[in-house]
Amino acid sequence: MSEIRVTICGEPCRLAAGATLAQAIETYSPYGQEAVICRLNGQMVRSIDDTEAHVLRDGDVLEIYPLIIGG
Amino acid sequence: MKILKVDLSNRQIHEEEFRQQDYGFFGGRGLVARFLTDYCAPTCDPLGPDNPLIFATGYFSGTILTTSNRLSIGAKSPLTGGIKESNSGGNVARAMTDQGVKLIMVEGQSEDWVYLYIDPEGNAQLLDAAPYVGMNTYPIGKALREKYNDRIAVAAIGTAGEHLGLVSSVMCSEFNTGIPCRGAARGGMGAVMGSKKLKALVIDRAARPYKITMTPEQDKEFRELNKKIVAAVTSNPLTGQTMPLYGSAAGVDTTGKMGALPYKNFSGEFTPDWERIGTVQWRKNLIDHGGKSTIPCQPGCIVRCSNEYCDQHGNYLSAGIEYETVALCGANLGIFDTDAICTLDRLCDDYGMDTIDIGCALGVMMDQGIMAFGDSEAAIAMVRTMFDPDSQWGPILKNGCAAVADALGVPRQQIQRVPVSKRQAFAAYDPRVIRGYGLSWERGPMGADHTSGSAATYIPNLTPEQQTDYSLAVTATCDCFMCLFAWSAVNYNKEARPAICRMAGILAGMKEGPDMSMIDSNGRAILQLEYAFNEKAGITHDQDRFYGGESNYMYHVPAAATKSPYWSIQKGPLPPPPPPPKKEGDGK
Repeated sequence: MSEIRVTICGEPCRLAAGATLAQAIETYSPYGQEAVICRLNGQMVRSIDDTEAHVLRDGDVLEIYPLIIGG
Repeated sequence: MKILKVDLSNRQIHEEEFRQQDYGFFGGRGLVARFLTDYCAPTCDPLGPDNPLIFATGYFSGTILTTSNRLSIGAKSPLTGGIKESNSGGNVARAMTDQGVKLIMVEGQSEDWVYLYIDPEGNAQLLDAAPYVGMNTYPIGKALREKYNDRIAVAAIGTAGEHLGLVSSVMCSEFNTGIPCRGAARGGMGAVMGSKKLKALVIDRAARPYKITMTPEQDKEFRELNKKIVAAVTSNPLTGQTMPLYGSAAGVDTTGKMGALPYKNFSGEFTPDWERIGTVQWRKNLIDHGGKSTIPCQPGCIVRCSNEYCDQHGNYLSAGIEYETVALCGANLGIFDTDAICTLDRLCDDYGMDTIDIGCALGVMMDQGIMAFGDSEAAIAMVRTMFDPDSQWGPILKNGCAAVADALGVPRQQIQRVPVSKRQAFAAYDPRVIRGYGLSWERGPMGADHTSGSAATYIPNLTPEQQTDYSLAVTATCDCFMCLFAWSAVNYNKEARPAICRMAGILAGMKEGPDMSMIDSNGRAILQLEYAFNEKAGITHDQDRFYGGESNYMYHVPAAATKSPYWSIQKGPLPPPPPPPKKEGDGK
């Protein structure tokens, strides 16, 4: 399989097989690459530790949220 | 531009020339760090005469760069014991710039209450503040506007600052309305101002506003680059669409879904019914009650995230309500009534208090059974007792969450349920879920201050420690340049990031550059000053731990969203996350 189909922010998307979470964010995040936090298949992805380590699989559902810092 | 040095002990005001070239790309927080390094003994009593109070404008203040008119207020913090910069929107920084004032340094202590007034001709005078003593920030703002005019800019303390509350703020007037709802709230800058018996800084509209000098070529290039900044901010869905409509309170939707929204004293549980204070309900209540949104807090802001909230009867209640307040005076207390949350916000703004520290302190009190979670009337009544000497808890509450925990004897418990780092209360993100916040709060020079840095996001090829340091540095530069909200759109935009660097270069008179590494190096230079100050004050990285050290509950109690406790850098690599839940069809 040369590509996978995933859902990102509710939209169907395609990525190369073996694509990481970081690559998915870079390609599809409406909020840019860095100022976001994510949930993968309903589970919080720990923000700064393992984004590279997550390899997306066919059918994965990724939610990307903007980080709002307000005080 | 000029520096005003105000010595309250002898009532002398001295002017000096400000030469930006002596300070590189420092503005706001950078200038605070530089001046405290040069003029403040780190071991001084933060509420004594030797702790100077700095009011500094940003590097770009007075230019057309959006949100560049933030005000940084800094001193040695009576809360953390270390260096502190707290910044605020509103119209004070722009008024200072129009008067040609880059920075005001207030030294010494006055015997009687005074306020500093700068008249339209730029003359600075210390005037008798006796008529205003005992007033909170709303009444003093109104009284000063009646005395002068509606166009004055005011930074004032309320009764909290007068009583030297360790989490008291300096409240700044909002652009257009004059409402004192923009707070330099973190770290007890209001107490430092109160210790000097300086009730307010009042700046009248300049008769001849100061103009930043640029050649026609520089001006043209600056304006062209600024278009990229405007495009980045307006095209970003967060700063261009969400924040104008909902303000930063929209953050509730993100943290609510993620399980990072603090619920019942940072219990780590998901917040049930977070939608009751989420964007849809928040905006419905705001509009149905006759409130307003899409308000700029400072001249030239295109994000316009400020708001005015009325109660269910249509009466004005509060303004400039932010995510942190909604989360910490709301979900963190089990309170989901927006009228009650905004009442707490109004009380804190009026007294001049940090809603973050007060929200966390009330959460600890509820957790310990002083009040019940969800009892908004008790919470409001407790805040109202803050200056009642006969109250058991009020006078302790004014000193914030750490002081409440001390008084409760929480340290004697095996597990300490206190959301505090370096004696400053957590902002409204559970560090077990967004770990980068925890790392920033442990490691950063200002404790749990979200505005001084937040390694909340992922940066490729760096360790968590390196990401934290990088994030802290980038935020330090942001605090020199512009509002954190607009910065979030600019710093991550491929067109805008180089544009703002070049705009900084134009102001510095550079024919080209600087390159984008300036954002990192400028911030690291600021951090270096701040860490050095702290080290001399006795605060070192050895103390990078939450309240109570290893027995703090964050290190032991898992959060529901990650099924993990907080994992600090000192513990070494984070264990692998639990495997993702099996999807339908897996294993067939």
